[in-house]
Amino acid sequence: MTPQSNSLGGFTPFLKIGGNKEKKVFDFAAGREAYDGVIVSAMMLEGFYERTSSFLKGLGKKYIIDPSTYVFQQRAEALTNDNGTKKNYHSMAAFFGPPVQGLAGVRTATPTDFLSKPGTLEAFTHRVIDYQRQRVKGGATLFDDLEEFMQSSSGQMLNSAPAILLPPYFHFRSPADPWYEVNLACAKAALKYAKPGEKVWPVVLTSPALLTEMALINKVCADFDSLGSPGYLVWIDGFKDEQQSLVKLRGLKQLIGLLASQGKHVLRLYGGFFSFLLSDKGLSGFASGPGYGSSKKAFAYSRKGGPSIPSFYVEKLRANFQLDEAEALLRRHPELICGCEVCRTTYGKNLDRFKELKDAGRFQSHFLNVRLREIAALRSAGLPAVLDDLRETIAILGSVNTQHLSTWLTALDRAAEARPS
Amino acid sequence: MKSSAKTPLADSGRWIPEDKLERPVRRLFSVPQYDCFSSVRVNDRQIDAVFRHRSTRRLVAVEMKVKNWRRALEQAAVYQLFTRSVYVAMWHKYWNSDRLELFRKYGVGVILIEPLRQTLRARYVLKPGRGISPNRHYSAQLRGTIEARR
Repeated sequence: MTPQSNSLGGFTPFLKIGGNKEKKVFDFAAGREAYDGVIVSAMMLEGFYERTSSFLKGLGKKYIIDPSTYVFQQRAEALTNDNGTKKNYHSMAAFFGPPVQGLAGVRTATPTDFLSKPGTLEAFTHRVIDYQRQRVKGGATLFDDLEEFMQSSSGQMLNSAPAILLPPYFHFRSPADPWYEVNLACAKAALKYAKPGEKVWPVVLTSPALLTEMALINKVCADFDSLGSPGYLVWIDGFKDEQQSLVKLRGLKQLIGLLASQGKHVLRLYGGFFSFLLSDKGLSGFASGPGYGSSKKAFAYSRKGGPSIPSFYVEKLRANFQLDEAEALLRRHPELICGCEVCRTTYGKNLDRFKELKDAGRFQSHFLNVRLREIAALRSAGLPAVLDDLRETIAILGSVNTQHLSTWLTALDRAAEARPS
Repeated sequence: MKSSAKTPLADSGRWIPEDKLERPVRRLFSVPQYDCFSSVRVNDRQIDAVFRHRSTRRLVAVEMKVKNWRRALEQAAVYQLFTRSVYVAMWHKYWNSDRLELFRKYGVGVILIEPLRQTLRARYVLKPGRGISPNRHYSAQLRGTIEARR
């Protein structure tokens, strides 16, 4: 299946909003075409409620609110700062209610908290779903006039309800993990609670190690399939496509393929370019941050937080590199120099100025420009042409910095195919 | 350089941690001629060792890896933004002379560490050649970091 349309029925690129400063990147004219919708976490929404909800309304794109309930699985200190429980976690816990209310920043939630008392899990699930239904739709907005403006000028109605609702979800290591049972029960309760026309897609958040065990993949897929959901989100914890072993990439392909069987939708909640290559294995779309955020570790929080390290997406290598690493690559292989508007105006051919890409979200705008080209190439030329392009890159650059491309092709059983003459 | 990374000493069955590679490399850059700086943090990056020639002030960066030659070469290639003289120092068992041409093409020098009686010794296999031209901002940054550690 080659991605054809930019809708939830076709291949759907989403962007994950990672911080306040990057929002302007989402809205520049050319970049808007590079994604179909945005995903915002409850952490982000509660941390910057007014700005984020206004942004979502003004953007005029599909959106998904990630309830991020897994955060309550981590040790209490991760949810606190010097003033006690961080504001956003406190707010999430207040909206979600028991059993996480009162636990946030005090102790780690356990499966028993959800399963011991009848009705607790169901009520919690209903509140998490209601939160997604109402939090942005019902919240105050700073830009009601902008909303009116967008409706009148573009003729496009703003989506005020999330495109997909996510049941509460938690990280599990295997089907034997007690959290696995909680996940399935939450998904079941959420699907039952869905109103006609609402899309409720359970989330599979698991460790990369699970991808090495075929029997476990089969078990997870069978259990989630039995829920009868029309779609799923898959998040493999800390999974960087360009650093994975062949076995794990093949495991991911298998997981996606099985979940997508019988016409179900599967979105990856973080993913790199390998996601595009999985489009003919059943993947319907994926989310990444603009310029970084192609992977995320569920429990990698610092007390202070902090900005992400700027990285540059090298189009031919289909991967992000730290700016100095990218600069070294471009100096060695000038054919990798990007011709997008941001790159032309920032450094052109003077690579001593390359590091200026870190300023004013330029590396992120560059990423969206490239992503746009990637989507266009997939839609116009199709997957075989993209695979040929990967093979050509390997042939030109050799084995250094291209190992991941070779591994991807092998994982897809496409390494040996001859390039057309 | 990760001190926890270990790999077997194939001859003896013992394990060698990556940080054991540094001492023989230091001996190679004989102390009277060079000042040695370990784990130099510059521009969100950590260079395993930097040597500065006492008279010419020339800087030499060394990336140490026991096993993963490809990653070592990738990192050494980045260090060339900071200085022209860059080496990869590796455990001899994981070196293959077939790779010499690739390292020569990158202009990255090679040092091998091998056992010698009860100790370890380092020896030059390839001197650094012509790589990419350094970025003058990064070069100045590395020099400034080194000066600040004096």
